[in-house]
Amino acid sequence: MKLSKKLLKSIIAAVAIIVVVIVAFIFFGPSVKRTIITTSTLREVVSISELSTGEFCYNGVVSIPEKDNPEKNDYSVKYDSTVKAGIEAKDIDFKIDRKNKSVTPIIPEIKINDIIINDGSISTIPENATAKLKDTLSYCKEDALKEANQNEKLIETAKSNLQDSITALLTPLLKEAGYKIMW
Amino acid sequence: MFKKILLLIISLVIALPLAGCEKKEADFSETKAICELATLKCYYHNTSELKQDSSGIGKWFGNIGYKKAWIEYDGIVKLGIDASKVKIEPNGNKVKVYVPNATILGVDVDVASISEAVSETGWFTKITTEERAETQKKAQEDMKAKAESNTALLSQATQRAKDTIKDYILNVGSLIGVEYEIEWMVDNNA
Repeated sequence: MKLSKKLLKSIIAAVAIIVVVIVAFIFFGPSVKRTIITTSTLREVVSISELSTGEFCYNGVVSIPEKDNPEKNDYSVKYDSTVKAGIEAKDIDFKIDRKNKSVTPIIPEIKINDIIINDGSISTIPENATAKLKDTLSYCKEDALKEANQNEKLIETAKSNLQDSITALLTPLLKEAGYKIMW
Repeated sequence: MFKKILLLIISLVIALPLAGCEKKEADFSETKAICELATLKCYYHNTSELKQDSSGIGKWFGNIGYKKAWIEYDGIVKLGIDASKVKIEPNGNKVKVYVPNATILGVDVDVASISEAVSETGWFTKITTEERAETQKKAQEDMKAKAESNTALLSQATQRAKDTIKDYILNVGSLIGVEYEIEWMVDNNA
């Protein structure tokens, strides 16, 4: 069938318009933002925040040995302290399972960063025990640090707070991409 | 006829891309879950004290009647906010947010961890089994009272909740290409 000139011109014009619109859409149209999950995007999300493990209350009792006879107990001290634990956010890594659409954060070891003894909380048995406050505080700090480092429950609680913080940070991004977080 | 077909094709070609230009709305549907994740669990290692001073003539004779004992125990105190009171009101690129102060949500003493650390008594004075049991019972109340009076801890929990919600809002904004500015609202009824 012989196409008329007019029809041919119309078809060419229509095709030209379609091509122009497609090209314009590609270059100037709204950018469709696909959420892409990569280790670096996850690290970026996590690094903007001060990740909180919490501060803990360690109110303990320590026995102070006699200076001349370290095997004998001189007096006991009850004290209140605050234990600060934490990690370096830059040390958090992620394992991404694209097949199952899951992300597993890998947290570094939680460390005890600082112990602060509340001077005003010190009391002794026997009540009339006399000792230099500085020495007493030193024993208390050493005791709190040793106990905190060995205390699995304290470390587990810090880890749990950290996991909750990371989950909250990643929720919007992972939900958008259809991923889930696995611990 | 052909002009009509041509016009239809042009209309479709223009309309189709525009149909994809739907503006994404911010989705804050996970706010309640985020508030729960903001709950701060605080490990406590605490000491409770039993104390009775000597009185009368006992003071002069070996402190008769005097007794003092410390018990140690572990527990977890949960501090958090009431998610139902959180308000997030977006308006363009500004978001008004209200977060209530944190409160003690629960106290859980590990009964197996309770141990008597140190004790001291005056002459002819003993710490009875009932007194020991009473001191142990006091442990839960003591831990709750200590947490409630710890204003630094409550502030820490409130700040954690605010930081978590702030980060959540900013992350939701970045997904839809909006840089939100957060304005914290104060509860005028507080």
